[in-house]
Amino acid sequence: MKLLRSGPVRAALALLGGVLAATSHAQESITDQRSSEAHYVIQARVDEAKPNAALDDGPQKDLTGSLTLTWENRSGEPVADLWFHLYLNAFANNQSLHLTQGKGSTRSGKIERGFGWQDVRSIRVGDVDLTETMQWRMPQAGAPLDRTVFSVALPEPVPDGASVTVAIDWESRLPRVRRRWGTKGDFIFLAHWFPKVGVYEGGRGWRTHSFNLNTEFYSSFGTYDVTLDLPEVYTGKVAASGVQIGEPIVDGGRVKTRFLAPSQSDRERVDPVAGRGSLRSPLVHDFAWTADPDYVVYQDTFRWDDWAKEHEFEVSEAMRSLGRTRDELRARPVEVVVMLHPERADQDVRHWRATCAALFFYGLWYGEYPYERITAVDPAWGAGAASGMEYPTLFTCGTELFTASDMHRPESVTVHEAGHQFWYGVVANNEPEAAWLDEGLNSYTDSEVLYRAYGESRTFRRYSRLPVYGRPPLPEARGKGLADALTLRSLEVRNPVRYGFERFGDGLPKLPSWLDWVGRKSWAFESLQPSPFIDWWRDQPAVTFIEESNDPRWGDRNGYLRDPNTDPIETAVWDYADSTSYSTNSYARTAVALRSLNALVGREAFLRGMRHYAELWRYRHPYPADFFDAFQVGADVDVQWYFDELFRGTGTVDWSVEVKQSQALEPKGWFRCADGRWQEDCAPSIADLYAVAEPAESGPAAEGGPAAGEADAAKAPQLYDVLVRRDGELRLPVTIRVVFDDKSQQDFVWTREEQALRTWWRLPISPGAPKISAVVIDPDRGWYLDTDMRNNQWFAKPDRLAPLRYGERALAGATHTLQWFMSIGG
Amino acid sequence: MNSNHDMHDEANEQPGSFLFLVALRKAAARPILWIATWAALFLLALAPAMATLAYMEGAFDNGTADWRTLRDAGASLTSETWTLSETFRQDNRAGLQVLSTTSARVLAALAAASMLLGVFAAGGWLQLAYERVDGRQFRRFCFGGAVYFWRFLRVLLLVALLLALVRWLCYGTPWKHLVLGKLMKVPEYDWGKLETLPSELLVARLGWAQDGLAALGFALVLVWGVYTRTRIAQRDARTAFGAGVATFFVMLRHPIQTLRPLLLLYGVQVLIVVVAAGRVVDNINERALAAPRLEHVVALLAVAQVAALWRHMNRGATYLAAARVSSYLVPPHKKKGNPWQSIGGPGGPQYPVGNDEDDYHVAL
Repeated sequence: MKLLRSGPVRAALALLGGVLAATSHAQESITDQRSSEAHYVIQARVDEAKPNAALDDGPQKDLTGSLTLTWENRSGEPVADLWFHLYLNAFANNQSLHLTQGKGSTRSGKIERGFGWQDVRSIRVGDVDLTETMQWRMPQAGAPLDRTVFSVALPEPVPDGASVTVAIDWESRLPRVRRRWGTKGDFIFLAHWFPKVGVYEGGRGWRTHSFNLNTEFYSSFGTYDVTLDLPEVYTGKVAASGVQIGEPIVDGGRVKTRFLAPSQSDRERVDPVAGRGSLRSPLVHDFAWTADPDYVVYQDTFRWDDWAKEHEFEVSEAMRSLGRTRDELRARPVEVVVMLHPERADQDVRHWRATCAALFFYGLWYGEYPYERITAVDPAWGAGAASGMEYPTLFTCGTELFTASDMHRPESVTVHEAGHQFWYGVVANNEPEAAWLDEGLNSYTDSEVLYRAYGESRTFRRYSRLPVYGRPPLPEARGKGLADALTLRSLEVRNPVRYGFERFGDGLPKLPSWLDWVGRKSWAFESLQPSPFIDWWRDQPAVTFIEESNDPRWGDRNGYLRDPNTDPIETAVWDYADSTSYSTNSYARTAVALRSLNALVGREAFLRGMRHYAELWRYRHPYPADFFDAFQVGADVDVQWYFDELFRGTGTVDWSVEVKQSQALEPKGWFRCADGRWQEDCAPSIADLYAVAEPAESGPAAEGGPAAGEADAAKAPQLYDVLVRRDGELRLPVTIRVVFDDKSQQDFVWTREEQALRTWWRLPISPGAPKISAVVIDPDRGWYLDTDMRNNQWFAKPDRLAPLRYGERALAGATHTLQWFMSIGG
Repeated sequence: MNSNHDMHDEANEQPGSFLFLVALRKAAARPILWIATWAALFLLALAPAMATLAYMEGAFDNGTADWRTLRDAGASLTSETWTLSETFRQDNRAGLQVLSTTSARVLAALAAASMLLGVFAAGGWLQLAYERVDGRQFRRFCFGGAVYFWRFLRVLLLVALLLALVRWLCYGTPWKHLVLGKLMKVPEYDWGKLETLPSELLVARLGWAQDGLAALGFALVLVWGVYTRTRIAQRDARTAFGAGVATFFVMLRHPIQTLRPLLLLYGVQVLIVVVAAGRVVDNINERALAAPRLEHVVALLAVAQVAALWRHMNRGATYLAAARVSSYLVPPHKKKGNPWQSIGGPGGPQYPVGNDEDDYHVAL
């Protein structure tokens, strides 16, 4: 595929691409050597466990299970062992890789109780017990006590194309939800809950990574047949990857619920999108489930045509770009199930709509969602660490009380996690080694979807959880030390009680916890510390706040600028400098780079490139080079330099513009006349000196040519000096628009090649009659990469009203804040 | 204390339900006072406002333009005139942060000054509450402010201590141990997040109860402060602590009479400042969003400052109402008596003038 970068070969293949696509793709699917399959049949039972008051955090649950795995080797070589994930053990102790990387903490804080673990009781191939051959694996250094990956030696190697069936029994204590999964009271959310085989890649061996802090997904595609045996209280309140088969069977205080993922009809259905690319059938690569007696269930169908009517422009654009008919783009109907907790039940339709938005737009651009059902899960209160996560055909949302659609909460999380069904779910890259391939592509797309479906979000501030739109024009009156004392916010004084005991006795006796304040070193008088309702009255939002909105696409740029150049995007998760670099590169920087790629190649080519990649790697495991190659073939462009510089480099760019303009002066002094004399009155006219264009007709000289005349002689032309600069290593072709006060415009393109020669460019504008009213770099705002856009434009007439506007708001804010303080005084 | 006849005649009658309206009318009739206090704060508020204005002028400079210019340029740029764009906020983050930190500190100093101004203004309003003055209102207001300043400053210290106590009760050890630990059975390790509680709604309600109690305590302390100052002024008391203790018992014995007028005045303030002014601001914002003009900025300035003016007038009305309630509930000081009652006030005896029996003048 690398050869495709060279022009002639790529061009020839592109010409033949349409005809040969199916054949060549089919061949790729056979020869990628990463497409082994794993088919599971699982029975699991959950029982209450006796909690340990010192170690646990509320009720505990045990899970015992047995599974049969049929692993089909498609790696192109014989395989002598099997490697499994045992990710539940990330919470077996605080020395796992996950908790070591997190310094003992997770999303929900320090892990000090509510541990969980997983033990494999037996593992067999036929009658051969392999339990003794179990070996803990630590593919990454740093946590020798990590127990999240193990391997077993097979009795004999599995040849390429053959399969092996393994039976495993295991037991586990389910942890309190501290990250991703576990229990909280009766709420159960379980992912990575069974011994799960990794991915074997021909030539590279097992790519079975320990459970890292930030990434966790890489498993073989396959099928799941899972039966869950739970206490009867969960009847009808269980959801899982795939679909439920039949009615739950209630017997003896227990309920059994069976799920198939993908559903039988999905498995038998010919995937029209895969038919153009990978030619594989719908499969899934993981199985997650949830149960809670409190769940409120909402269900409705996603219908493509309803959404197409609302977004006709996007449909037409996709048809034009991809060269497909409406029927070819139409996606299948999908049952969208939302599992909510009662207090947030009023958000049911909003979750449903956000999920539908993702199914529509992602499906339109990258190929339809191939499964008959998708389930959105709202985790219970206190289990928020499980929120905002994706699993095949099921994902967890992230929401809270008192939100509205124009806050994009929960819409942004729901769209993002539903979007992962495409980037992670259907196109399943090796996340630990290239997290940006799913998170970054998804972040780019979710912002595009959010903007199209919901517009910009409004800024708001919460007072005791209740939202108020806008933001205060001034900060709170405060500051360390004296400032806090002046505002009665905090005044610390030495504790006289403690001082007395220490000065005149043997020190303070031991006090019960409710009296600990008596023994503190100092007492803080916090008369006016924040308190929501009081703060609301102080802030007077109704008359002082400033409305503000947020464009999710530009929000990506904000994320990118948190850390624009520490690591290349294309970095394995363990090689990033820190978590900030990981999150910036994997999410926002990739999104910004893709959005800028869209500007570089144009919308149509961009859609074609992304679509080709999505189809080619559907139900497969791509790597970054596969994305770069597939995109270029699909888009029919050669932008390898862009991928190299943006995804494999750390360069940045900051353009700026400086403008000067002045009117040419009449020449003064002694000049040589035609007859050879030197005289004052032989000065040449301005019209002779400068080529001045007719102002109304043709604009500046660069566009319309000179039009000197007698009238111009009296009218001195404008001399322009527009200097554009580039700071940073990235060289990207950019347009500069010059606007004149007669409303004429002139666009200049500063090419990559020219930028290679110099870091500045003085625009070649001939003197002309009109004055420049504006110069704008990248007027269409395609480059989201510019690190500082303050200096990207120049306007002759500044906005005089804007400072007044914000000054007035600050005055309003200060007036009312001070009035509030005055009322404290008397 | 220069109390006069009408106050003492009124003092024998129980204040009616519409005392808050009467107080508002009386306060409104003294515009010089609430305009003066408003103007003082307005001048103080100019400091952070001018800092913001200056920063914004520098930040916008030639880099932004109004929406018409942007439209003419055919560029996909956002006008910053009415709302700051994502890119402006991001690219000016460092500058805005500096502005924010500086403004916070300046505001802190101004807040202290405002509290002192409040101490002064309370004395001024109470001076006029107990003294009938025609003309020279501002002078008497300043006189009252000066006379009571140090005593009211001590009241402010007591208010601060009580607010700290309220805060400690609502957010400190008592709340955690009694409400979270004993009542809600939340284990101590979870007092910060309350994740062991069964639902977010319960946590929200608990938060509302906590924040609501804090707000209620805050309001009661401020009302107590108002009545304590009023008592000091009425009885020319020297000890703020003693007046405070006495006021506490008066409020405990007469909760409705003491709280009702102030609560109603607060209600009126909410109606005017939050509801009415808020709606006007929303309306202006709606109009300005598409094509902002100078008139919109001026209109916002007017609404915000009129609301502020109302609050100052309302503050005056609060003291006038409190003085009236206090006159009825709190007997005059026995030892000091009322010197003017026997001699008729400065300049000779007082007598009714005009048709209104309550209309007294002091002959000078």
